[in-house]
Amino acid sequence: MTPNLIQRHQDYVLGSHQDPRLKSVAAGASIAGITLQTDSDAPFLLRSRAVRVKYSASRTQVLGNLLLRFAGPDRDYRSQDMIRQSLLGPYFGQLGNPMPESPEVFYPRNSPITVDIYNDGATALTNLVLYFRGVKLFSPGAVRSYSYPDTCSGLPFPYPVGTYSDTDGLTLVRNIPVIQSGPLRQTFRVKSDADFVIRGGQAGLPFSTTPVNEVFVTLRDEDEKPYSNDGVHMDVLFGNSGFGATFAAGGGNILPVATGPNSPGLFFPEIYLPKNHLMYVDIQRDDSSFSGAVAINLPISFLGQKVFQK
Amino acid sequence: MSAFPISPLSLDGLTRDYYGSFDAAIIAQLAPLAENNCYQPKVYRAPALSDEVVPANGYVTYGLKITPGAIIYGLRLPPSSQSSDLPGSFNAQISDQSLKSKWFDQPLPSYFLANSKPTYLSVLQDVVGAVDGFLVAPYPVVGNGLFLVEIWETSGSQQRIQLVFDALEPNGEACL
Repeated sequence: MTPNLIQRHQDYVLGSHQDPRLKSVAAGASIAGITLQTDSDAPFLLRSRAVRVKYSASRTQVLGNLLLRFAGPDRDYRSQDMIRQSLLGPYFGQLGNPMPESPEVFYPRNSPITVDIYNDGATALTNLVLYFRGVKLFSPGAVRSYSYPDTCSGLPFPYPVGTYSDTDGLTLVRNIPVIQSGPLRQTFRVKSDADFVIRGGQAGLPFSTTPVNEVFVTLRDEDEKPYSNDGVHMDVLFGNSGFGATFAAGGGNILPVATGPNSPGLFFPEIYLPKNHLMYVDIQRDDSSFSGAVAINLPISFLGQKVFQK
Repeated sequence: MSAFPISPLSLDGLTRDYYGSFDAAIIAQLAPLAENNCYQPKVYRAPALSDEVVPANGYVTYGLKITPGAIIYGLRLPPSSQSSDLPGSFNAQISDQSLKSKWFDQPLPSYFLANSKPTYLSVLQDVVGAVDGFLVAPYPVVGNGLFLVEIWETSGSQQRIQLVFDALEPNGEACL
């Protein structure tokens, strides 16, 4: 229970930027005691997880040989041994559908998320990233937190992010180069007609004929305070772009079922933006290792509801 | 302090309370039962073990008895193959003998009884898991609890058919 505290969406990312050993986990290798320290600004409630590796040239996620266990803040492991992650979720929490953790795990400020991993396969895991999703808990007034007016009406609404062009009539994040190391910042401004509450999002170029594989997104509020400690892959944060990704099963690979446009990446709690307020979307990309990659215009949409004061 | 009821059935990455999500809506109906001591989960299976390998275009029947007072909430079917999330092809009719009523006006293809939403993948064992095909509303078992399950094989090939009923069974007379 979190009485009188503000819950704010948070993704903790534990990848090679946080621990270089995750850049490549060799076949048969195990790594114990990987630690990510939670931020000092607020406690964290872990509610779901995802895991990911770099896409192969055919956009396959070869994660079936990943076993892991993680611990609460007192190094209290949540399983007696390492668990094969494919048993917990068919798509490893990707495609906007994270693997639930119940009951939630409470991490105080500056406490460690400890993970042990084991690759029991014959192939190295490249750019392994572990995502811990939940909420930060803030005292009222510690962060911007808006909510609905006393009387209002709603209108379901998708809001595209990026720049509008008369040429194609679309609002897209434009000209993302093959390598975009520093963040390419997009400023999202809510129009003056109504507030907007973000409940989910979609992103991606599922029918692209050129590789659009390693794209990462960091959401920031109007004070530039981020909703994650690092960029979150768009296929983890959002839902639609999972099309085309395949997941190893048995001797082959299968396309995901029960994901896609009807099942976008959701945010909990929702993010409420008053009219004329801002949100920032930072994009990073590195598709340099994929043959044929070119600069792209990327659709990103926030899904939610306009809120009209009455 | 009372807690908002959450069903363990909802603890699945692909079960989301979102527009058009049928599973989440029906699971919410079941959520208050999750911590109700008057019920315990019980699984029933049809047809009989000796009849479940059904010949091509064959027909089998099974008299299924479910404890009166139980609640049927879903049906489960295994995938047709080790790398598929679809069930084998057959038609089924379920008749409640106490109420003298058939569940379907015509025998229903198995596709509509299963839920193809996977729960896990196995690289090593070539298996796809699937959750319940939830009924539109929990079905109370009344009278003598007898059901007639009829199955028509429609794939044209012999197959093993296991139609599983997931129910919550009353747990002692005090709760009835």
